[in-house]
Amino acid sequence: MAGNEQIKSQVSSFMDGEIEKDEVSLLCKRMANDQELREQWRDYHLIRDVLTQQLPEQSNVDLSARIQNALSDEPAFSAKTKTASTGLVKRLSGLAVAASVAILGVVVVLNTAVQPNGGETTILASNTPTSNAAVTQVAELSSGSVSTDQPMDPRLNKYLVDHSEYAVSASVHGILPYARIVGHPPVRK
Amino acid sequence: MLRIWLFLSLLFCGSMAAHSQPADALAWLKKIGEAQKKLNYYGTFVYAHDGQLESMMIVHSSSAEGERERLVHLNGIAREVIRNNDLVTCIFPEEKSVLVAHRNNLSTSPFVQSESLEIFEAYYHISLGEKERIAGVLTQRIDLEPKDVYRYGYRFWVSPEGLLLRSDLLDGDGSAIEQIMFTDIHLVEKIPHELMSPKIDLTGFKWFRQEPTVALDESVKGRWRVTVLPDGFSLKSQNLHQEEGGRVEHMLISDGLASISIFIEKYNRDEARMGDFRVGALNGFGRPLGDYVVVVVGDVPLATVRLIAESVVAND
Repeated sequence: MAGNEQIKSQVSSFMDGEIEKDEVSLLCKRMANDQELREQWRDYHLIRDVLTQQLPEQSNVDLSARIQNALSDEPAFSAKTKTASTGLVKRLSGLAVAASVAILGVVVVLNTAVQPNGGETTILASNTPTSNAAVTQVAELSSGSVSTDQPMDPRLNKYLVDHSEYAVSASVHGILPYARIVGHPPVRK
Repeated sequence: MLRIWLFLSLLFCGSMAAHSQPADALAWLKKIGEAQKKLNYYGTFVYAHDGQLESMMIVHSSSAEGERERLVHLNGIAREVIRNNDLVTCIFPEEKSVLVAHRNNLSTSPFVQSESLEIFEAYYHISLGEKERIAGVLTQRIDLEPKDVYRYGYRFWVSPEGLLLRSDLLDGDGSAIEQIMFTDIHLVEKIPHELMSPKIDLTGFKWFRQEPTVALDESVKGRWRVTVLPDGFSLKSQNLHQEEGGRVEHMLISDGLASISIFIEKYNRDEARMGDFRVGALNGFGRPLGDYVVVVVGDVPLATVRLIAESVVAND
């Protein structure tokens, strides 16, 4: 049990970029075989996202507020949030910007460490959609954990990618069309 | 008498402020285009859509050699887009595929072309909002409210250098459909090389190369044309893709802010996309047109894509 807690603590440190490089590979392998650790990793990312986005005043909260409500209404997530708040969340809340920079470093390390073993990108896991009813229409499309039961819709995916590429040329800022490509997993029929 | 003078002065000042606001807002918008051309920066931002939050990293460099850009999904599956001038590479790890495409059309954005942005005033109410801090930077908010039902509204938060640190796409009720907001941003003289290089191992990935498109103009005519466009929207480019299943004609329509694509290709019962669909902020509509299918996709209301799709006809 104590050992398990130690590994969970390592995941938290990993989020903060505070573990040694030679420990990364070992931790990644553990996470690949441990659903609970993957969920912990996913939850930490969700917590960090909510914390680091620097929510604006109420009138502009929109989607962000809905997400927060959804998270707080989700018993499983609330419980995990409480657990995490003793360590990671406390530190993140005071160091929002610094944490974002640290995460960039972590992701780079993780990709380097994991990819050569092949197919272990699932370690990074996915942001499982919340139970928010407002999300339902396209939630499945926009989460990282799309069910693979449904066949891909290659034609629509191609339209979306092609449109985004073209839209860059007419867009007010270059990144939004690309964010749409990267942010939406391939659409399924 | 003094009171009357005071009242008239206040009235005059108020009137001046009301008139100067759009001009000030336009001056801020002009900064955006200038910043895109010359700034080197990297940072992380949150992309919010459909109740989802996604963290992404952006790296952008601009030099005599041109523009380079890299966008990486930081949560979940590490999808990535790298643009090297007109060459765009999209990496989709979940499909173990890489799509490489040439984007042979130059920017038509009025922001980048240094066109007069006053054109927006015909279709949007433009005003200055509050100054607000985004990613630790004091930004100026610009509000663009559409004057008709054919486009969405926008709110931009612009840094003193002209970087868009936050942008919201708003529906008719003023609710955000999509948001992008930086959580940290670094302006630098030169982008470190390692930030531009993908870290993912592409061994075993399938590569798909999209053949360069052919621009359609007076010499090479397109087969199709759009007969109805809402005010302010115009044809920006028209291209021909040669694909496995045949040729696909593409038209890009824009009002300088919103973009709409029209795809026309041979009807294939197994693949054709008919009727309404929506993915994030993009609405789409597909319909048959003789032996062909017209699919219209854009960050505009559904009514707009329908209107445009229904108006496509064959050239004589």
